[in-house]
Amino acid sequence: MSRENKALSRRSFLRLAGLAVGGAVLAACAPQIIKETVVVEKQVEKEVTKVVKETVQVEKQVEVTKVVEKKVEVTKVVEKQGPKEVRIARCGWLESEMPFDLAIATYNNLPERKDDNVQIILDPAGKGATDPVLAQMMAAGEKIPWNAHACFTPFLDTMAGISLETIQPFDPFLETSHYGDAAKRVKADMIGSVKEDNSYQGKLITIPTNVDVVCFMYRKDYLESVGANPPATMDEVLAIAKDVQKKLEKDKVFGFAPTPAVTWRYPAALHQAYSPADKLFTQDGLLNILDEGWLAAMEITKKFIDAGTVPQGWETWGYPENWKQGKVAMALNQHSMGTWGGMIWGYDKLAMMPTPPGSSAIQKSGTMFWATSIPLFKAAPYPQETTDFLVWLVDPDNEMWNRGAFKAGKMVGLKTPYTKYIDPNDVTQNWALGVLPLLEAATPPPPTKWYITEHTKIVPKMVEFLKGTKSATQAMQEAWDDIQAEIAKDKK
Amino acid sequence: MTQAVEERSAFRTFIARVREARHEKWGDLTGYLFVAPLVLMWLVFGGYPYIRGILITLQDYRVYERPTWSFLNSYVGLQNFKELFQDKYILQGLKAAICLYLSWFPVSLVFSLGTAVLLNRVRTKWLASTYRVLMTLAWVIPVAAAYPMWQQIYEPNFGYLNYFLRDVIKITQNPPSWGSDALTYWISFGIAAIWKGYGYYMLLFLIGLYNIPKELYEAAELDGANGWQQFWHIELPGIRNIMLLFLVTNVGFLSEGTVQMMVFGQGPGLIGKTAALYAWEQAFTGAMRLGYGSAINLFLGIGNLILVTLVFKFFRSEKA
Repeated sequence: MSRENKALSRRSFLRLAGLAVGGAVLAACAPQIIKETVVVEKQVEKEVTKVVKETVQVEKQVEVTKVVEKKVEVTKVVEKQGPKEVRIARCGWLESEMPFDLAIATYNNLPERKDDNVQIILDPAGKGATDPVLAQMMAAGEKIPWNAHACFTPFLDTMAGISLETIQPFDPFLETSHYGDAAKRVKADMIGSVKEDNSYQGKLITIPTNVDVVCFMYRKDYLESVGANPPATMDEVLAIAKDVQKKLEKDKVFGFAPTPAVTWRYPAALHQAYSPADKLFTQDGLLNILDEGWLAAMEITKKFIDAGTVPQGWETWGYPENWKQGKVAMALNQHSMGTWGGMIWGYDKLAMMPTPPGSSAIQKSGTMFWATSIPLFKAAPYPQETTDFLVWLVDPDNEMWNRGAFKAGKMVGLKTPYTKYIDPNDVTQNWALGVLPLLEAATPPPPTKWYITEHTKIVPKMVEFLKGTKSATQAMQEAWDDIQAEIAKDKK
Repeated sequence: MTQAVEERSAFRTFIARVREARHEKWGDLTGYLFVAPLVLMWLVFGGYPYIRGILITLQDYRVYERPTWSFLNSYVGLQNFKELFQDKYILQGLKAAICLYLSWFPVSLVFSLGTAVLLNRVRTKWLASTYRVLMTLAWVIPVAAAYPMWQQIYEPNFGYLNYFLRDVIKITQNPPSWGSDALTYWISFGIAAIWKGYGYYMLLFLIGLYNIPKELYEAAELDGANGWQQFWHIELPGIRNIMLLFLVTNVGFLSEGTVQMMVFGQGPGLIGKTAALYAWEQAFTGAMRLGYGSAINLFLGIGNLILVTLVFKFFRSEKA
């Protein structure tokens, strides 16, 4: 045979190359091998646990020595698997507001981590508990790499998580936690309203990392400039707003800033200045927007707008920038807005208190609050390790985390840190002592899946009323009908 | 014996003809092997979602309720489509989509084309490069950063724009609320959207203009054509394909607005809620009716397809 005959023609080469590529693609598509590997890994881990338990008996029984030898062998196999990567789906804003990175770095380097090989990882590619894709992955029996989700608002998300069957209670894992004492403290020390917000059917379904409470906030120096005391009623708020604005006209300071288009931060909270807790929600857990108190809250809001004491932009997001710039004398918003303002223009000028009652029937207003919590995924590969980390994180004894939360202007969901870490004379922290009673007395919103639907139907009608094109009753009746129409679709 | 040989020969000829015919019809089978991975990828990541998406429109698929995930359990025929024709929010959403489109498209077309024509006439190379970079800077800024930045500019009380109008040039003491006012909301969004996208479109047109042979300009100059005539008779026909690309990729406005409205805000009374955003809400909030949300999106997609077809037809008829 000549040398030329031995050489591959271009066509033959391409054919062979095509076959090779095709073969490689087919080989890469074979899933069975991976599944088998996973099973082996699980078996090894189980064996370790079993052996460790038996080792306790070794001191008394010489016969079991062989088992100890086996343990050594198995441990080597585990070491080859690398660290236990306990992945928690990341939440960008929470990570930027709370000292999560520092907490995780601290936890991963604790002495006991050398033994258990656990590494907590915040995974930016992680799925949330309300993500349908996660639910479908679980339903299909796929292996889930994530254990929890760091950005869960119980009152908005719990029903979704329950319906999608993506989350499970923490209770059994708290019982067996590596940090047993801390787990007991977490359960016992959780503020009642927060516990209720984070529970479902009596079981702790999420662990709160921080809490936001809607409250009335004002600039002490502005109110002092007109000789006003802290307002005792909403009518007084209106009167002071007019006075302050007149007095500080040159500085372009507005009297009062409502955010009627942001349901949880304003209308739902102001409602509590006019109605008692039993009138706030319907039996179905919906916002009781046809209640007289809700309508009265709308009417007073319109008075502020009509009086010109409100910054422009109330139809949408509202005034956060103006508050932080010190251009608003009084506001009703989540407490973090107050503290962020305090960080900019000085905590000594900040005061936060319950919303002044709007009705004589109300002695002390309640308020809205929401926890930012972490749920445990049903198919979590490391549920115990995840629970251990969360217990360690929010434990009242964790000074770094709790002090960090207060420094960030946030509230925590456990009671002891308020007495343990806050200096009553330090204005950068003592605001939390004023907000705490509000949180303790707050009514948790009942679990329902309709909050976002309510919000999207209420807001356009609210704006129409405040623009003067509809009465409060008509606007809310229309919103109510729209909400009911959506709910009716669900019942079909 | 001879007959048997002849029969074998005839059979071979027949087989050869069959192979030849098959080769003519199907080509070299090896080629299929080469395209197989791509076709496979498309079938998995392109074809399957299309088909599944269409099937979901025929279901009362609710994300919350696992039993409805099965096609047979929740098949409702064309019920979702019947419902969308009676849904008042669809019409409102389509109006919003039209407003959104008109707020940026016409100006963006004129502005980006005009800038490209001017830039094409810059003869100094480094200067042209500098302009190109400057013009495309806005395009490379992520949407999540760009629109909130515009919200800062539009902030009605102390935003840069109103500060400029009220305190610097002092033309009004009551400047508009921009994104919070129904009258100025779409203008506000339009300016931000034009700023964000025109650099890309300008670059697209510029590539087309750079591909026009210089001889055409020289011949036109010899014939005494002025700038406008050069634009009208050389440049505009020269970038015909780019123009087609621009129109085809942008004419499907019916399903626009999900990301933009989420980031920029839906305006006072949520007037910026487009039909696509409403479909998203139906699919992923409240009862999480993915079937209905998909039906709305399919409806919008078919509308877009008609618009794209019209654009193609227009350009073809012009060519004819």
